[in-house]
This record gives sequence, C-alpha cells and structure tokens, in this order.
Amino acid sequence: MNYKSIVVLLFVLIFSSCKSPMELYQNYKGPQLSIGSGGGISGEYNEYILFENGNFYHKNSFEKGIKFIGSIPANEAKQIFKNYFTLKFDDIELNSPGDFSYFIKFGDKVKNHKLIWANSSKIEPKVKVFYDILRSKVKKLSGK
Amino acid sequence: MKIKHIFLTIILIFPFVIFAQNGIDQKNNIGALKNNNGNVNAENIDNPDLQGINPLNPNKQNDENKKSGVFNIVSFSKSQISSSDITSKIIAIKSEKRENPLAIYISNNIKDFSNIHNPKKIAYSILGDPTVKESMKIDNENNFHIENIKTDNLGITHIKMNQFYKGLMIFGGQIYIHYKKNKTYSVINGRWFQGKYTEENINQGIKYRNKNHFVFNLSETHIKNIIKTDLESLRIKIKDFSISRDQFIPEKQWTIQKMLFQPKGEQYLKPVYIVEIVADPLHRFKYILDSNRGEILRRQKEYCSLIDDSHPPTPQGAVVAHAKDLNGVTRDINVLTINNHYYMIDASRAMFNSTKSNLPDEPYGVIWTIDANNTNPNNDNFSNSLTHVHSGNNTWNALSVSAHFNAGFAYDYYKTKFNRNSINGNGGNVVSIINVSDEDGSGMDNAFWGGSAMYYGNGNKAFTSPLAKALDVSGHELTHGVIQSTANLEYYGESGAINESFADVFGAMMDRDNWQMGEDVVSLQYFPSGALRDLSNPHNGATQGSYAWQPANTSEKYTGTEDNAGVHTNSGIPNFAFYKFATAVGKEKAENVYYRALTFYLTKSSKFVDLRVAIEQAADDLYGTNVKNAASAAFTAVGIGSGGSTGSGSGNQGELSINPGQDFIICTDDNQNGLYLLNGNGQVLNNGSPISNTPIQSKVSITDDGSNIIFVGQDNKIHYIYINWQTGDISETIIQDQAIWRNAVVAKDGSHLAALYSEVDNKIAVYDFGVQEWKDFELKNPTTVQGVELGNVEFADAMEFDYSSEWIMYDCKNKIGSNNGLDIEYWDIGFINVWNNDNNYFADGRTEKLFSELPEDVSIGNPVFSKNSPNIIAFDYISNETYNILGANINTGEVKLIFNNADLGYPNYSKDDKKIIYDYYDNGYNIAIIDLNQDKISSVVNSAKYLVNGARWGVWFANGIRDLTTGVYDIYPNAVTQTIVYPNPMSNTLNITTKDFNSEVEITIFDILGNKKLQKTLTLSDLNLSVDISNLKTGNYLVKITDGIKYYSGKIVVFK
Repeated sequence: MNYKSIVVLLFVLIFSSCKSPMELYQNYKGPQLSIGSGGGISGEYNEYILFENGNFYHKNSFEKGIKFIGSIPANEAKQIFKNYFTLKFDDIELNSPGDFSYFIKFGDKVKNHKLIWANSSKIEPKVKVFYDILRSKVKKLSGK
Repeated sequence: MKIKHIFLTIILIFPFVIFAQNGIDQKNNIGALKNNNGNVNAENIDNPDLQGINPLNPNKQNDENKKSGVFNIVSFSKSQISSSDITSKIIAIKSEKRENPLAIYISNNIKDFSNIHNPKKIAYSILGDPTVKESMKIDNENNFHIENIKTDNLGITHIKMNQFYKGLMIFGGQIYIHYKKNKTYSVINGRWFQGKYTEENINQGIKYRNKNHFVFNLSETHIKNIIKTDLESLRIKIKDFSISRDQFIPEKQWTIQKMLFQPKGEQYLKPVYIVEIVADPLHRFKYILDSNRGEILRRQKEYCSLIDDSHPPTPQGAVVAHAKDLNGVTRDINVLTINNHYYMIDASRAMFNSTKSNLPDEPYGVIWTIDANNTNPNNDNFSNSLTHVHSGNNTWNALSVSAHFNAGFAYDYYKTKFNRNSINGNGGNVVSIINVSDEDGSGMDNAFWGGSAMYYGNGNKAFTSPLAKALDVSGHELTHGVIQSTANLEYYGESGAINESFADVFGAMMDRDNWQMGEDVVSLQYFPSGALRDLSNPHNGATQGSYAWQPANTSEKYTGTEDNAGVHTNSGIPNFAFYKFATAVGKEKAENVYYRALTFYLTKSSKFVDLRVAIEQAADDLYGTNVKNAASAAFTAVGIGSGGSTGSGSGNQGELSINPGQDFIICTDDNQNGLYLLNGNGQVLNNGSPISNTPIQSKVSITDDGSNIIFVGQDNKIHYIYINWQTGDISETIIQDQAIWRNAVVAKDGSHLAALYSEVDNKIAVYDFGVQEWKDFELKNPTTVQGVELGNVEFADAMEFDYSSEWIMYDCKNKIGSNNGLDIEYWDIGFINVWNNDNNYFADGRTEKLFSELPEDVSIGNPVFSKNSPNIIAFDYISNETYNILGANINTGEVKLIFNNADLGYPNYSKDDKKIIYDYYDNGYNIAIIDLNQDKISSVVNSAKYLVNGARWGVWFANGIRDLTTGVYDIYPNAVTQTIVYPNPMSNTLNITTKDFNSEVEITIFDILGNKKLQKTLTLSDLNLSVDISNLKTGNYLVKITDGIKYYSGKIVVFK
C-alpha cells in the first residue's frame, strides 16, 4: 500500500466515523446543559441545549424536532460545564415558576437538576449571569 | 352494653381490619339453604320506556304466595280542598314565590280578641292565630318583636314589629299590625321572611353557623378599619368629633349591630354586621359587612347631596379619547393630560388615590399602559427602556388603545360582577406593558402576567397580531393577577393547571360570545382550528401530544414534567368542566360560583379533586343543591371524582376506589331466622352455621369495612355484630335494649346510627357516636313541588346513609288526604340531611325527593346506593302490582330497568358494582343475581340466575378498608418503612420511633373528613419523638410525617 492510499484510507476512516450534529444528538450520552424560557398564554417554550463538545441545539414547543444552531469551541463548552459545578448550581434549590418562566437545566447519566424562576430580580445574581452568558452565545450563533 | 362502649369497640377495631383468610370455614350447604345455579324464569327487557309508566310485561304471579308487605297501595282519585276551609281572606296576592322578604297584606276579620286589652297581647294574639300563621307561613309568632306601639286619633292602634331569628334581627323583615278600638278589625302588612323559608335558607349559609349560634368573627377595631379603608377610597376621612369644634356632633358616631341579611339576588340569609358611621356632618353611611370575613356587601349613603360624590372627582386633566383599537372599533378610553401632553393613564375609577399619586410617573389606583419599546424583561436595560404611552394631540395607535381598553374592561368586569377593587382587591394599579420583545429582540409570540403587570408581545409566527388585540387574552392575564392575590395557586402540576384554567375561564367570560381563547390573534398555520384553546372542545381539532391539543378528561391527562408538569395542557380538563357546568346552569351563575371558589375555598396547592369540592361548596353556598349537583355532574364527566381523580372517564367507575377486601354476602333465611355469611359465589361459610340465631326484623346494615353489622331483631332491639377479620371471631350484642325499634342502619364510616321507632311515625332517630347524642328528624314532604301535592309522610321503612354520612336515603309511605275519605297512599324515595360535617353536628333535616312526581298507582322503595358511585342507586318499582328493579343515575336523571321481578327485590350491589343481588320469589324466597352493564343501572340480557335458595335480604360487602373521603389519603411516592407511631389507640401523646428521618420533620394530623387538626414542626433529637395530642377528641385520624422529601402516612385511633 503506498502513501497516497494510506492517506485516502485515513480520510475515509476519519470521515466515516464523523457524525452529523443531528446524529450526534440522537446518540449523545454525555452531560447536557440547557437554558430556556416560556409559558404565558400560549404555553410556548424555547430551549437551547449545550453539549460538552460545544454543539448548541434549539427546541421549540410549537415546532417539531430539534434544530442544530451551531457550535462553540469544545474547551469553552467544557469550561461552562465546569463553572456550573464550581458555582454550585447543583446545590441551588430554585423552583419558582410563574406565568412566564426562565430555566437552567443540567442532566447526565446520574442526575437531573433544574432551576426555574419567573422574576429575574429575585434570584441570585450568579444564576442570572450564567443564564445571560449562555443566552448571548446562543444569540451569537443563531442571530437570535 | 352502652352505646359508648360499642363506639369504643368500633373505633378500636376499625383501623385494624385486614384481609382474613383463616377462622371462617368455607362450607357449601347448611340447613334449608341450598346453592342452585339454575336460571330464573323471568323476562328481561332492555331499555324499557318508562315514560308511559307501563313499561314491562307482567310476570306471572302466585297471589296466594305473594307477601303482603309494606307496599299496601290503595288507589283512588284525587279531590279538591273545600273553599269553606279558607277562613282568612288574602286581599293582595302574594308576590312571586321566591321573592323575599315576602310582601303580605292580610285582613283577618274573624279573630275575636275583645277580651284582651293589652296591645302587646293583642298583637301576639293576632299573629298567633292559626289562620294568620298559615297565611303568613310563620312557625312562631314570638319571632316578631315589638318596636313600637302607637294609637292614632281614629282609634286605630299600629304596632310595628321586627322579625327575628334566634335572637338576630332580620334586615328588612318588618310588619305592622293595625287594629281598631272596638277590636273587630285587624290588618297586617309589611315585608317579612316566611318561617319555613327562613329556616331552609338560613341553613344554606351553614358555614356561618356553629351549632346553635352564628359566627361573628370580626372585632370592633377590625370592622372600623374595613370601613375606614373603604371611605378613604372615596376620599372621605372619618372626623374625630372628640376634638371637633363643630356645632354638630352626632350622638353616636359608630353603631354596630349583628343581624341576618339577604344578599341581593340570593335566596339565603346570612349573619352580617350592620354598621352606621357618621364620618362627618355631611357623610353618613350604612354598611353591611359579611360577619365572617368582613366583605362589604353593601354601602349606602344615608344622606342626600346635590353632587354625587360616590366617585371621587377625576383629577384635573382627565379626558376621554376616542380612538380605534386593533379590531378597528372606535373606543372611548380615559387618558390624562398634563402640561398639554397626554398620557395613557386612566384615573377615572373609584380606586384612584389622588393623595398618593404623583402624576404622571407615580400614579396610584389607575389603569396604566406603558411601552417596553421592544425590550424584554430579562434584559438588564428593561426598566430603563419603559416609557409612557403618550401623545401630543390625544391621538393614539391602535395597539395601545386595545391594551388600554381591554385592561379597563377587565377591571370593570371584576368590579361590576364581584365588586372586586382592581386586580389585587385593594385598588392597585392595573398595568399593561406593550411592545415586549422576545429575548433576542424579535417579536414575542406571547403575553404573560409578570407578577405586577401584563406583558404583551406583538406576535411572530404562532400569532399574527399583537396579543393585546384579544380581549380574552387580556382577561386571561389580568386574572392571573387576581389568582395571585387570592388562592395564589402554585404554578405547577394540577394546581398550576387550575391556575391556567381560571385564567381561561374568566378570559372567556369577559369575551363571552364564544368558548375559544385567542381566536382573534392566532395563526391558522399553527392553530388550524382558529383558536389557541377551546373550553368547549379541549382537543381543539388537534392530535394528542400536539401543542394545540388539551385533554378533555383525566384519562388523557399529561403526566410528564414539561411545562411545569403540563399546566397549559392539563388545564383543558377543568376548562371542560367549567364549560359543562356553565352550559348547565348559565354563564352568570357559573362565573359567580367560580369566583367564590377562587376567593374563599381554593388554596395554593389545591388539586383537581379540591377544585371539585370548592366548586360544589361554592355552588351550594350561592344557589343550593341543584346547582351543586350540576357542578358535580360536570366534574364527574371529566373524570374528576369526589374520591380522587380517575382515569376511566366514564364518570361512574372509580369515583370511590373499589373496596380491596374479599367479597361476602349476609342474608337471612326465608323465615327471617338468623343471619348467614356467604362468599361472593353464594357458598355458605362458617361451617354452614348462622353467624347469628337472632330472628331479625330488618335487613342488616354494615359499615364499609365489613366489620360492624347493625340490625333490629324481632325483639325490637338494636343488635350489633362485630366480625374480627383478623382472628375470625364473631360476636353479637344488643346496643340499644329498649324494645322500641323496627329498623336501624349504620353510616358507612361507622360515625352515626339511624333508627326507626316500632311505633310507626314519620320520624327518623339519628345517633352520633362522636357527640353521643340522639336527634329525631321529622320527615316532611315539600308543600308543593312543581305544583304537585305530595301529602304527608306516614312512616319510613328502608334507609341507607350516603358516602358522606351526612344524608340518609329512605323510602316512606305517603298519604294524600281528602275530605271524602278516599285517601291516596303511595311509597316514594327521599333524602334527608341529618349531619353537617363542617360543623360536626346535626344538620337541619332538609329533605329532597328522588322524583318530584310519581305517576298514579306507582310506588318506589327499598333504595340502595351502588358500592362505588355515590350517584348511582337501585330500587324497587311497583306499578299495578307488577314489580321491577330499576337503576337510576341521580346526576344525569337516567332511569333504566334492571330486572322484571315477581315481588319486592331489595336489591344490593356487588363490591365492584358489576352485579346486583335481589330477592326473587318463586314458591319461596331466593336470592338471585344479575350482571350489570357498565352504566350500573341496566342489566345484561339473560344474565339473571339463582344464587341462593331459601334466603332473602342479601347485603353484599367486602372486608377491606378504603377511603370514603377526598384527598387526604394520597399515596406518596417516597413512603418510608422504618417509622412506627404508638401506642394505637392513644390518648394524649403520640410517640414516634423512626430510622427514616434524621432532622426536622413536620407532623400533621387529619380527621377522617380531611380536616387538619394538628400540625407541628419538630426536630428529631434522637430516634424518638413525642407529640401532645391532648386536644384531639376521640376518633379515627390520619397522621403524616415528612421531612419534605420522604413521607410516612398511617392511621391512628384516639380514645379519651
């Protein structure tokens, strides 16, 4: 086998093992962080889900399926996950939904945890900041 | 053995019953009882036409063997009351039957009181005259107290009398008695409340009554504060006359009286405070306050002024603008002009507080529309982005007009309908914020209540118009504010769904032409039905799982965690219940009932079953039984049963959970000698021996857990059999040894006993084991029911307590008398209210009939409740000496044939309501059995067969324990297993040993009715805890222990 063949073979091997973002979504078993908001008279919810590899997905309750909206660098995503635990969000009990609510959700193989609130002025500032940071990244990726 | 000891026995044993497998032998044959599985030779006809009252083919009967029993019907034609019986001439026709107080004018010329000189005695002599009492329908003339007596120059004496009830004056009940000097003439005029009507209607307000006295909960200070606050909203200050130099100083500035009052539009009397206040030399008011919560029922001016100051003058600069809204309709809206600039601030309502307001930036008591300028409340700069909606020339854009007008409309709705002073009930601002964007700055497809204001998006995809366009959207959002200020339902799970439902309900009531929500603003692409939601059709033309779909029944309930466990989805279930209820009773009654439930009965964590209870109670408060029943039917139809929400959707199945115990039947032989215990297949148990050798006179009555059996023996004494299902021991004793009885029944929870005297009369005697008192209730028929004369009750025979233990269903013989001696006698079925669980005391004995009118020659009797559906009964129906067993659904009014019988059947439902057993006479008594259809009131064709020969009066029961109440005994998922409460029974101390909890725990104790009796938070210092329960009375209770995550739940018995 010559050098060219090896390179071609390597390319085939690499790209055959690459999954599309949506394929990854279906098969992903790692931790997920999501933010979102919704409720009101319509009951519509928007949720933005971050994977550890940096992929962001969008789920809207009025639309079918999940949409891939873009990626941030994986190390940035990992830092976000790390911050979630460093800031001890796991220990925060925040379950104050209202007619229109905002939320931060974390889930992995072991547990799920959700912070939900209606009035942003009545929560710990770090929760609001964390939410806003993720929201800004979503906006940057999707223009929304 | 005394009643008290029996009660001890009952309550000691009641919680400890478990399924018994040992101790009761299973034998097949005994004596004259045989088990024959032959088919009954009778015809079954499905779905007969009962309209013509001749629905059935008669069955062949052997007259010689036909038992001449209590159904001794004599049929004659009716006659008229002779006009010569009328001794008192009514000059004026009485006002419309339901009007109160009644206007009356009576001239009574026949009363001779020439030998009485004292005016007071004359007054009571006239009033106490039987003909006068009959005409006036009063029970007791002493309920009228003399206010004053005057004699004019014509020699006519005028006595003014006020009407009282149990020491309280009835507001508006006042009459005059006039008589002439020579005492040959007397006239009575005035307005008063009929005696019987007063009794019935006062007791509709039973929640205000504690045993024999009325509840007045407010202190004088509290009363004065309520009025002071109200007057301040009118900008009237209460003058301190003690320091006044005015010449005018009122004799008494405050007068507070306790009275009974009929609220406008209602038919009941309630206790109130009548308060007269002289605020200042001009302003005098009379207030009528609810005695329990201080709600202002009426405020009336007691002065006349040229200028109407009921509304405070609007501030300088208040103008009316005429502008088109988003629907293209020109609206009149109230705005404010300050320094030649216009602001969308409506200060025209009575709630406006000019003293506190600093206009335009800090208004108080206004309707206010603000512009968010396309920012989102979650943005940091949101507050700085808010601006007034303003104009230089009093012209306005349609969006702001819609929001402003709708807010005013919603405010007026609550004010006019319910006298609610703004969203928070205290004249708080009603704020609408328009042009709210999504977090990313795009159009928001939503509107929401943000805790102190309504936020409106302008739509994007799902909504094609700004949401402020829709009145029902505004109504929905403002109602969230009302909910926040009242029940404050938690926005999660069923309580959150109820929150959403109420918002939809009142949104739909404001935009009341249809049952749809958001139909003015939704995109058809997203909501093809044209509506966001539809109260009349929760499925909304969508498929299950779609965002546009809602469940219509608890069987379809969403059980996931999205959307706070489905608050927008599951609201479809209570929405549909409201739709059904409002369709049955009318929107006006329905919204009144719902508002009352929201403001008085619902709590933060109310679930669907609590909603049902709240609506039923509110309906009963306001309108009585018929509307309450309509509420019950509506909730049953959506699967919200009185015993907990179910998944069946049928409205019948699962209202009470099926008794988990084994099936048994108790019966007597055809000579009524003794009692036998059978299994559900008709096999005789107890080695073939009777469990009692006592000759019996009445059919037995059994508590729901199958442990306690009551019957009257042929010795006319009340016998009691106790079955210990754990050990198999059966014991019998006499619990009332006076030989004065002919029938006795026990409540399903063992709390009361009802009995009939052997000396036949129209009374039912009821004994309560808690208060240990007897009370006799007299059975009466309504004087007119839809114009039908029902006659007098001669005596009752069969009885059964309902599942609430508050009502007894009975059959009774009636007689309609006539002057020619040809009386009409017939049997029918009624219900009597003997107990009030709220007050934990005897009720007023109000009666109702199953059927308002029976055809001639028809009698019905031996009624029995189904085992799991409190609204389903079966009974004997006799017409022209043909006998049938019918089933009836009290809620829907359906009546169907179960079996065409040969004699009285004494039907009884099986444990699961799938069968009925009944007496079948065929050369002797036998017990037969027939399968029922799912509706429980009709039978499966050709399914009747013999069960036991030579037996009768079978009563089917099970020996398990189940809840007959609502909501208390929830199953908690995190139940614990290493916690013990002891001793049990206990007296003054409850001890807990636990390995499940190790920190702070909350201990709550409920009675069997679900009332919270004790709640404490304790810290576990070691594995043990003690709780002082010396305040608890003797009885059964449920104790719950929780640390917020794990729960213990168990039953205890307290005995003192």
